[in-house]
Amino acid sequence: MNLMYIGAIIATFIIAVIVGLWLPGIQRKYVQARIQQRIGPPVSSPGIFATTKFFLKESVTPNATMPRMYNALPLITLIVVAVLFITLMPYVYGFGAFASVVAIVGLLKVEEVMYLFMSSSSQSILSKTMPFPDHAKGGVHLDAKKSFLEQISANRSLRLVTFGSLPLYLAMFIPVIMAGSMKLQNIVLVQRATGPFLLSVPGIIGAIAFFVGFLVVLNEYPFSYLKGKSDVIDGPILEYMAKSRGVYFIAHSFLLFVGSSIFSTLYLGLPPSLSIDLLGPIVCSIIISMAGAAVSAFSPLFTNREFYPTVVATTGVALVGILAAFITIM
Amino acid sequence: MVTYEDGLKTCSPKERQVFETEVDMGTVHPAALEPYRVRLFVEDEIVKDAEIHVGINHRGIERIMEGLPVEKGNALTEKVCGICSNAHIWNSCRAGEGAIGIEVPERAIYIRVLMEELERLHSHMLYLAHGSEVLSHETFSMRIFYIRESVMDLLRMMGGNRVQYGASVLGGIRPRADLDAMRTQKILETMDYLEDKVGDFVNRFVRDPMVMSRITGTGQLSQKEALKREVTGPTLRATGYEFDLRREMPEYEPFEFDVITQDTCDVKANIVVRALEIFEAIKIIRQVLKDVPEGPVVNRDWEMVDSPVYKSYIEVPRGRCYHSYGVENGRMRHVIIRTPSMSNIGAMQESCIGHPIQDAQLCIVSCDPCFTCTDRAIQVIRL
Repeated sequence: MNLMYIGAIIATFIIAVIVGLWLPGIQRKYVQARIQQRIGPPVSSPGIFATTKFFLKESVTPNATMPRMYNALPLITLIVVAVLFITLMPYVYGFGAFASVVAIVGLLKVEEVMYLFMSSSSQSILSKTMPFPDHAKGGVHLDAKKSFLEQISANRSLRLVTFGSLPLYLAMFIPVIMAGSMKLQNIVLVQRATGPFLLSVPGIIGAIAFFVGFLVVLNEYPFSYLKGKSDVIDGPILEYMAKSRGVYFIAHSFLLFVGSSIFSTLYLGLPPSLSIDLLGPIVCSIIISMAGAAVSAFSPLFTNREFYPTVVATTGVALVGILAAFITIM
Repeated sequence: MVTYEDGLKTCSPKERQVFETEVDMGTVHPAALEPYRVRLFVEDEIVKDAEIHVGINHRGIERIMEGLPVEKGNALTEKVCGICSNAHIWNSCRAGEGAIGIEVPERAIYIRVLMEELERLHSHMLYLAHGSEVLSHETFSMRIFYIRESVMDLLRMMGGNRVQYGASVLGGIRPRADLDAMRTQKILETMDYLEDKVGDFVNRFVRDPMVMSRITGTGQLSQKEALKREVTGPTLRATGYEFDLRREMPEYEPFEFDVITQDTCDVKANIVVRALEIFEAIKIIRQVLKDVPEGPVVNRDWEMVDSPVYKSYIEVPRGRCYHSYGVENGRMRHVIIRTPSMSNIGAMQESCIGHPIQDAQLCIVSCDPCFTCTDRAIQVIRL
């Protein structure tokens, strides 16, 4: 790999971060605020200025079992997402298995597991340790172990890692079946030759499953299972403040862009690179984030009663897509 | 010496059920508009028992009122609650008028009813907005808050403020809150607007399959349990029990309205009861504006006399509100305020049981809690 490639990777990376930081503003200002008939925040506020503000704030030690590790987790998440993004770029297609769907699945799983670590570690004052002067009536349940709200989030994140994001991963294997290869290079080349998979029946089915699965991975409403305001408040990220919260915001916004880049690469054959192809991930990220914002504006938070059937149904859709992909290549 | 813990240990397992985990929410929690603590005893994220504790916001308003001149004490009751401030000052004045024997002009009674129904409108809409917020349905929440603004404008027009209107005084209402042709026209126009917009909102709300999935069958509270726990107001009516104190209040005698009930006893029933009560309130307001008699709005021709404790009950947006006090040398004695949320705490605890933690706050909110007003008046915590 020569210096030109490294320069192209860095330049693409910078463009991606900049676009990614605008996406929350687009969601809040141009979708949710419009739907809710209000003015909404300035478009640069939720992504760029809120993040900048957090970097300028004073930080104190978070209430966590391992505060340093807890503070490091957003940075690790950001690094994982950045590596995931680099994996998608054509400049690293020569690295064999590194530039394959297996690597993407693995890295996304690492990103998901971060929430498990975050919620296991966080111990905010908003539940167990909140001082309260009188518990006169609590005598009948003396043996109950008190739990932090974040521990509920930890249980839920384990469920998400186990099966919640399954539709996304199944949807990622539809292009693999159609291209006959795990390697991103081959998936892109096949689409350059035969047209985007999105224009086929399995591609359309897979795109639906991908979209729902991606919302689950992003923890966006209505799948904001880990961060439901009605019970666990912000869950894993409750104790983040100042720089660590800023880094988390960047990682989350960037994941929105990277997820869209995965879609663009697998379903349109347009990987993120310093060329006209970069328009594919940019347009996909805007469309996916706007669609996600519209879904979240029109739906309440899902509880187990809605979440499980949705995941099962979307997994079913993804399996139908896989079946359709097998039929197509036969 | 046998301790309390020893006594508990000797209990058989049937008498003393041990639950896996306790999850505490509050006193600061974004789903709760007010400071209270809920202790949920859960097994596999299902609530098996719940306890609600208040006592954080105690200001002892009753104690402050004792010894104050009746007029000043009445004005203070308005500070009990930010949502149903008019209800408290009305009920307090009502108790004072009953105790002293003041005759209230008919026009003032009509305007008091008008203010109370406007307050019911904004309170029920706040309830719908808060419920939507706890469901995390931001769009519904924003929409109903937007519609509610028109009622807040009317309250400001009538009383001069959005929250503390100060309409009622001993012997009637403040002249500031009197009706004129412009105000009547404005209120009538707003009622047409509200009927249209709230109707649209309710139709959308009850037709949303995802919202219905969240609220149907959630927070069940049987009528038997509700009566056992002295539940009051729309929360009681949502269990199918037809009781509205307005039917027995002489102030409401001239007005036609229906008592709304639902039989499903769940969160949906609570929401639907309050949504339909909005239309009943609009109906009452139109009757008030049509039939309001001419005449004075305040009777100043009375003399302060000593009186034993006089009790007054009125139906406020959350249920029965109780005020009582006696008068001695023009000052208040033995003041007691009982807000409807005090009665409904049992319903909130009961309705959480058997549902996931995610629904616990929804079950509590469905009973329309106003812990702060409950707390300000009567709960005392010794630190």
